[in-house]
Amino acid sequence: MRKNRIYISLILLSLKNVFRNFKRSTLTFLCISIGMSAFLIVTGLIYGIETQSIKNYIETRVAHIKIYKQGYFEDISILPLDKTLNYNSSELQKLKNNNYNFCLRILFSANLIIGEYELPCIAAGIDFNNDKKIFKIINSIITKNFDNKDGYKKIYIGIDIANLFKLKIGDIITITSRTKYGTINADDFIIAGFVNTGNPEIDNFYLFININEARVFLDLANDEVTEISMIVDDYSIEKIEKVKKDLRNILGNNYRINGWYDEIKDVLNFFEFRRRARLLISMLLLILASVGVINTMLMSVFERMQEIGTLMALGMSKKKIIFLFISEGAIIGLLGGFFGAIIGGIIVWYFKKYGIDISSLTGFNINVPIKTYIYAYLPIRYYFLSILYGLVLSMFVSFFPAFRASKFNPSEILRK
Amino acid sequence: MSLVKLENIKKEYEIGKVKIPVLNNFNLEINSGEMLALAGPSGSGKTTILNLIGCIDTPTSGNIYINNRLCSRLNEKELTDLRNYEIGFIFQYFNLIPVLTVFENVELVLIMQSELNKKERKEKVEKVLKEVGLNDLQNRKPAFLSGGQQQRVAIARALVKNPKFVLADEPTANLDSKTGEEILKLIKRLNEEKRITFIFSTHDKMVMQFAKRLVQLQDGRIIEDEKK
Repeated sequence: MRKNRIYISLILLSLKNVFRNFKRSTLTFLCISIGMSAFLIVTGLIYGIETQSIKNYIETRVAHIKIYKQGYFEDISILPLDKTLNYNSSELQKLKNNNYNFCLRILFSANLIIGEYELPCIAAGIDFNNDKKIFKIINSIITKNFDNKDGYKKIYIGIDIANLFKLKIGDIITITSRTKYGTINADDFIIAGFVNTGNPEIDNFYLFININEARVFLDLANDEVTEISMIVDDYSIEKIEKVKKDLRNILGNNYRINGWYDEIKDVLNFFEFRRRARLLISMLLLILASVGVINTMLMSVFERMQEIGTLMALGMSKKKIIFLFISEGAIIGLLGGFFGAIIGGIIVWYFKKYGIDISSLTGFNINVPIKTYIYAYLPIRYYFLSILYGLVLSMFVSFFPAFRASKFNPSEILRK
Repeated sequence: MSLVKLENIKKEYEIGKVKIPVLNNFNLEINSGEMLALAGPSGSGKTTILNLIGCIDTPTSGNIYINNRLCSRLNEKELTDLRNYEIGFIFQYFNLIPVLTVFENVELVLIMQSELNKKERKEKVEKVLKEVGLNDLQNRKPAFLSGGQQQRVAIARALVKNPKFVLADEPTANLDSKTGEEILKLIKRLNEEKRITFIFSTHDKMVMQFAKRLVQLQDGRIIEDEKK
């Protein structure tokens, strides 16, 4: 215990030394604080984008779990209609019997014809009653009263398509698509509302019609669907994997069961790439902060050569000299990291509450399913991590100046 | 039995590729209780000898014995311990730690030894500060002390560990003559009352007068060794 007292005293001495040159120390704290807060802000925004993107994908397109017929997912880019599910089959009826929360959808490729223009779209036949339990499409619809005295079938189109073609509610549009048997079918629909989910993918490319009308349009049997979308209470990967296993036991091997993460694998891979980019940015910020610490510590060492020589002459070991300077670095890093966490925390909180408006970035491909506001999100562990980074980084970069100090020859420096 | 023995010491400093000899075949024995002054002009080797005796420098060749231990045989830790427990230093520029108070400057030496608890340290520090006449100033920082007071703190710091001997490098060089005399009287009293061995380097005539043994140096050689 008594042996440890010297280290406690050295830490106290370091604390006093840190505040010896108040202006310089404050600048170094600021350097670390800015580095750490920038690290938190960048991480918070990237995390926010990822969290919000996943949430948007889940709420507008992928749900928590999807069930397809085996072989459908491999061809999903062409939305095949020859690999459909028969909902009335005995296996799929078990979903209903097991009280799963799900809805049925028919997705198909369609062309939207407006005058001389033709726009390839993704059309979805949805069950309006059940779809809103799973997706936020129905709740995002903007609609108003319109005249449909001719009894057109209703269609809801992505708001960006409407804006592109200056379409209004009540306008008549034509949809063409190949039926299940390959013949081309066309029909007129009246625009009953605009879908405004905030996910550009949906708002730019999707059309929604009644599932029964979709079946008729596509020559599908009255229980045929292309996918079943499901939500569960906990959509963590572990929980989803468990539900997937249960579903496999219930449904057998004729079905493909995807978790939300299987559906957006490419997006998650991109996030992984972005995470590496974030790591690189963070490293650069940390290096920037560490330059400040090295500078301060080197100045401190060279200013206090006499003092180091004195301590050595009085019987302080090289190990303790190193400890003295590393603990000075640690104090600077700890305080810098702490203030960085506070500053970063305040800015992340602001962006979490008010977001960053990215609507002006329309047309600029930022590869996120978000088109209005990006909201920051940062798990609490990152705040502690930033303090720890500040501490470890400062200790690490202080080692060189500290080691340098321990290598001084006391007789030479005391002579100066 | 001598306390310090320098035997055939050779010391050269290397500046670039040039070797500058400072001591050559230097011999000196110092006994316990002595108050010895190493006097001579600049470059005569006074500080070099103090540094060698204080084990903060090593000779190019030759042997240094401290309390019959051959210093060249001691490892880094043993040398650090030797300085920590047995040797007191007083510097020309006082070399106090500016961020520490008078009390803390003196206590630091005891903390480095890690032998005493807080209460014991306090008692010991207060006792030594009283001896050097600074018990009222123990909470002041060095910047708020006069030169003489700072040197008294340095003396207290050297004495608090009960060293075998104290090395004082030009202890009065930065003091006015009156303060210098007070410091020397204090050192003399400590030498006489407590039998503490003091080894000075100086070219101050007053220090030479106070010393009980005067070793005159020139070009790294003893030209006179006078015991008073």
